[in-house]
Amino acid sequence: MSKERFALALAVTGVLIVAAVAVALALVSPDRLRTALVGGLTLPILWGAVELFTGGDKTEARHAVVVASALVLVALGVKLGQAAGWLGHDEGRLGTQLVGIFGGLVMAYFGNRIPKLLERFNPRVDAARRQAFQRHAGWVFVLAGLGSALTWALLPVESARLWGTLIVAGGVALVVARLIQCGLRGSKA
Amino acid sequence: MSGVFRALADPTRRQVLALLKERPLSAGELADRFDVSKPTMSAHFNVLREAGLIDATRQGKAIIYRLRMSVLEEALMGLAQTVGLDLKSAPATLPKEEGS
Repeated sequence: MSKERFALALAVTGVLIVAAVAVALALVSPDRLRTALVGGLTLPILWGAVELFTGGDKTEARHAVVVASALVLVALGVKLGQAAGWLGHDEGRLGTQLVGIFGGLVMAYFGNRIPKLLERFNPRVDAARRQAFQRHAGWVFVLAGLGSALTWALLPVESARLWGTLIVAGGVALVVARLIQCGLRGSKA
Repeated sequence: MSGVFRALADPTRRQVLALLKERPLSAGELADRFDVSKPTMSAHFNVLREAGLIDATRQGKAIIYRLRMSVLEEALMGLAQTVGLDLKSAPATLPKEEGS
């Protein structure tokens, strides 16, 4: 089986498991129908758009779907556990903490892959500048993701929510600033 | 992953990667920086390409090599440099290989 087909099988499995947990959440707790719908439908819709509108090798996109499915699965699983009474209040906090840690690790995972993505970028920007931006973005996302994961692991939930968000937002702001700088300098206009 | 470790184990290949961190370079530009034979350089490029650390595209008659290292791979290279060859203190060109 080719890498691309294997990634497809994994992604389909991940999306189906998420959908099953979303349906279970909606059945167990109808007042959380909106959460179940958003959690269960967002990923397949985004993935469908990627499959339809992009060409070439889709292995990377499918791997991203698998990782994103795992993140949504943890979040929906915690909600389902709380709704079904399997998780108490303290365990619910632990679940929130796990989602935060996992979210940080997912950000680091995607950051790690950014420098490998060579093709899709502004063609007006020269190759050296493009490479420098991708390396910068990769390192920033990895460090911000690991920082956020550590924050969620070590601090109480209330503090972690504030500091984890600030770290991630700071990382994203740094990358966006570099992207704007890179785009303006690289523009031929 | 073993291909990545194999590729990073060699100081010449690490030096190629360090040069490509600055900007994409042609095979000729890279070969000029090293005092080794072209077949040897070509073999180094192949190892790096098979490990997925660089990407080669043909532009006219030239082959342009670009860095394609993940953050983890770059960190591993930094570790390899620290425990192995210190590139900053190494000469710009390596001594000529004998018998290659």
